[in-house]
Amino acid sequence: MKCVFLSSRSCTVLLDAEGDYYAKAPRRLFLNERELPEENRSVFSLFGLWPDRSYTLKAVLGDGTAEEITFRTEKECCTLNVNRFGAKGDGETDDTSQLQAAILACPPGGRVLIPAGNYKTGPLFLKSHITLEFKPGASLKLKTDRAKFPILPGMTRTIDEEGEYLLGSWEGNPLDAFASALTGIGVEDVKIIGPGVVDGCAQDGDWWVNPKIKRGAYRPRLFYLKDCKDITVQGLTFRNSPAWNLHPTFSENLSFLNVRVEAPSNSPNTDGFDPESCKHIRMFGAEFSVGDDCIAIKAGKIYMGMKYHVPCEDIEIAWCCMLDGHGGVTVGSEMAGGVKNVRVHHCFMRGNDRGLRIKTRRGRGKYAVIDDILFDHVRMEGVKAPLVVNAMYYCDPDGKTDYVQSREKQPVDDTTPTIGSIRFEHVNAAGCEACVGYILGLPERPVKEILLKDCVFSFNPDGSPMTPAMASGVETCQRRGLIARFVDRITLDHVSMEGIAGEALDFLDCGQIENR
Amino acid sequence: MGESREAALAALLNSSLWEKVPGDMLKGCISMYRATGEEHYKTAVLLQLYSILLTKWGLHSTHAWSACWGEYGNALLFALDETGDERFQTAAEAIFDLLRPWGDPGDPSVMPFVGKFETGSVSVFLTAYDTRFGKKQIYKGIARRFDAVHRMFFLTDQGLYRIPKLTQPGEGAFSDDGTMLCALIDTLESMDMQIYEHWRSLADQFLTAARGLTRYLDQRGVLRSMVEAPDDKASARVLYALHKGVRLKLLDEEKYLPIVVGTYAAWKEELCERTLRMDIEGACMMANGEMKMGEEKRI
Repeated sequence: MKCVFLSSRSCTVLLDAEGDYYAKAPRRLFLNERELPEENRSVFSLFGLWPDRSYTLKAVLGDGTAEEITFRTEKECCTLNVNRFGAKGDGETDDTSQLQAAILACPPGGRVLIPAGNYKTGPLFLKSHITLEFKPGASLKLKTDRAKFPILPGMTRTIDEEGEYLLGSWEGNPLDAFASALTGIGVEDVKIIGPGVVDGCAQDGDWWVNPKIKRGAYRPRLFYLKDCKDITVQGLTFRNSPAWNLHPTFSENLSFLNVRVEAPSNSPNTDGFDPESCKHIRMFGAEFSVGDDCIAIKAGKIYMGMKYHVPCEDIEIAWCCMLDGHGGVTVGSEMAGGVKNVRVHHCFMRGNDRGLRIKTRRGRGKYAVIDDILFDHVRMEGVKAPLVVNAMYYCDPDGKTDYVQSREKQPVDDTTPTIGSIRFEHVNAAGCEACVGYILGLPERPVKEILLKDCVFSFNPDGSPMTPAMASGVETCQRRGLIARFVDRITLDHVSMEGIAGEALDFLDCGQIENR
Repeated sequence: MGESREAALAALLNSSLWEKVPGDMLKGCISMYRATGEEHYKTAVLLQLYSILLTKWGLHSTHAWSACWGEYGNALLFALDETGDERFQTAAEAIFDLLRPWGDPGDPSVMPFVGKFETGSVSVFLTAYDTRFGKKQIYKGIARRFDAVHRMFFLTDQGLYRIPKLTQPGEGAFSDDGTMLCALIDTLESMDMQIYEHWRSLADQFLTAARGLTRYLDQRGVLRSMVEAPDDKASARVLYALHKGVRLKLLDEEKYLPIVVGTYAAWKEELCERTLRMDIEGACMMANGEMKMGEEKRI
C-alpha cells in the first residue's frame, strides 16, 4: 500500500498492486482510527482532509492482515468559495463569470472551492498554482449554445509571419475549435480534485447532431490542455462530452487518478482520454464507459508530425477499468509524432470491441513510429478481439483511396509510418468473439514484432462475428485465432487459445515465427 | 446598372467573344451575381450552360487542356447549386474525368510546364469537385502543381513576387498576371482543411506571395502598379486575391486590409480621372470581393 498523490485536501492510495481495477480482496479502512467504508478497488482516493495535517491510514484484510501508511497533506494559503463570488449553482443562472473570477483571483497555493450545486457555465480557463476542488454534489453543467463559446483559433501567424502560434486542435490538426469546459493554456501546478461532475450536457444541445459538420468551429472537449505541466485530475466524473473528453496536448507530468468518464454508447467521437504529444503521464484507477475508444494515445497528423514531431511517450495506465467502447487502449490513428513506451498493466476490460487497438495508415509520416507498447497483467471479459493492429486504417476523407488501402508494396518515403514492438504478457481474455488478434502491417514496412507470452484466450461459443480491423478487404471473423499479415517477427510463448473454430494461427507474408 | 449594362451583357452573349474565351465571362458573371444578387448575371450563366448542354456539348474537343474547361466546370457547379438540375453534375463529372490526369502529381521535376492560365482555372475546379463529390485524392497533385509554378514567380533572394509592371527589367520572363494568385486563393477556399498538410502548403504559398507583393508598396502604402495602370487585369486580380485572403483569415487583417482598401481607393481615383472603362473581368472580380464597385454603372 502506498500513497501516490497528495494535495492539501485529498490523497490517492494504491491499495493492491496485484489487483486490476478491483483489488484481489476488499479491505476495511481506518483513517486516524476512524473507520471508513470498505474499499474493493486497487486505487482509491480520500477527500475532505485538512491542509498540513498528518494522517495514518490502515487497511485490514478479511484475515486480519493489516497495512499502514502515514502521510501529511500539503499546505494551503486560503480558500475562495465560488458562492462568495456570486455563483448560484441553481442550474439556471449562468455562473460562468463568477466561476472564472474565482479562478483568476485565486493566489498561488490557494484553493477554489465549488460547493454542492449545479453550476451552469461556459468554458472556464485554468490558472497556475491553484487547487480547484469540487465538493460532493458539485456539478458543472456546460451550456449548449455554441454561440456562447469562445473559439480557440487553430493557427495564428506571428507578427513577422515566419512562425505560428497554435491553440485549437481537431483530430490531430491545428484547426479552430470551441474552448472546452475546462481549458488550460500554458499553466502549471494545477490540481483539480473532488468527487464532482463535469457534465457536457451534449444530449441537450446539437453537438451530437450532424457531428461531422463544422459549424463555427470544431466541437469542444470537456478538458483540454495545451503546453501545460504538473497537472493532476483526481476523482472527477466527466460525462456527455460534445466530443472527446480528456484531451491534453503538448503537456507533461500529468496524473489522472480515480477519474470516471461516461458517454452513451452511440454518442459520436466521445473518446475517454486522448493524450496527444504528451509525456510522463500516469492514469491510475480510472473507469471508462464511452461511445468511442476509452483511451486513445495520439501524436497529431502529418503536418504536426513533420513540423514538430513530438511523440506521446512514457505513459502508464494501471488499475483502470474500460467498459464497452470501441477500443480499451488505442494508439492512433493520429500518431504522426510517434507513440513510445506505453505500459498498460493490471487493468480490467469488459465488453470492448477491441482490447489493445493500434491504428495508423500511410500518410502519417516518417516520425509516426509506434514502439514499445506493453499490455501486462490485463484481464478481459467479453472483449471481441483482444489485439488489433491496423496499418491501413481507413480514416480521414482520403482513407479509402488506393494510396491507403493498397496491399501492394508502395514506395517507402517520408509519409510511411512504422510499427515496432507490441507485447502482450499475462493477458487473460475470456469470452472473446471475433478473434484472438488481427495484425495488418504494411507490405513495404511490416510490423517489427508481436510477442504474446503467458496469455490465455477463450471464446464465447454464442459470440457474434465482427470485422476486427477497419480496413478494406478485412473479412468478418468469428472464433478465429491469431491472424497476421505483413509482420516481421511473431513470438508465441505459452499461449493458450480455447474454443477456436479452425486454425489457431493464420499468417501470410510474415517473417520469423516462433511458437513455444 | 440599368439598361446600359443589360445591353452590354446581351451584346456579349451574342458576340463571338463567348466562343473565344467563354470561361472568363462565366466567372465574371458568377462573381457579379454573388456580389450583387442581380438575377441577370445568373441568367446569363445558365443560358450559356443550357445552350451547350442541349446543343453542342463536345467532350472530345481538342481544347481538352484549355483553361475554359476549368471555368466551365466551376460554372456547372454553380449552376447545380442554383438549380439542383443533376445534368449539371453529370456534365461536371465528365469534365472532372477529362481533367483528372492533370491532377496526377507525378514527378515535379519532369512535369510539363502548364500555362498559368490553365493551372488556375483547372486547379480550382478539380479541387472544388473533388471536395464535394470525391475522396480528395486530387489535393496532393494540386499542391505540387502550385508549388512548381509558384517557384517560377517568386524571387526568393529578393522576397518579391513577380507581377507585370511591378517586375523590374532583368528579373526574368515569368510573371504572374494575377491569375495564379487568384487561382491559389480560390483553390484554398474550396479545400477541406482537414487534409491539412496540402491546405497548409497552399496557404503558406499564398502568404509568401502576398508578403512578396508588399515590397512594391509606395510611400502611401498602396500597390503602385494598380494606380499606374488601373485598367490592368493583373492589378484587379491581385486586389481580388488579397482581399479574399483577408476575408478567409489567411492574411492578417491589420496589415493587409489597409493595403487593399488604400489601393482600391487610389485606383478608383485614377479611373475617374482618366475616365477609363473598367475591365469587365476586373469589375466582376472586384465585386466578388464585396467591394461593391460603383464601376458597375459603367457597364
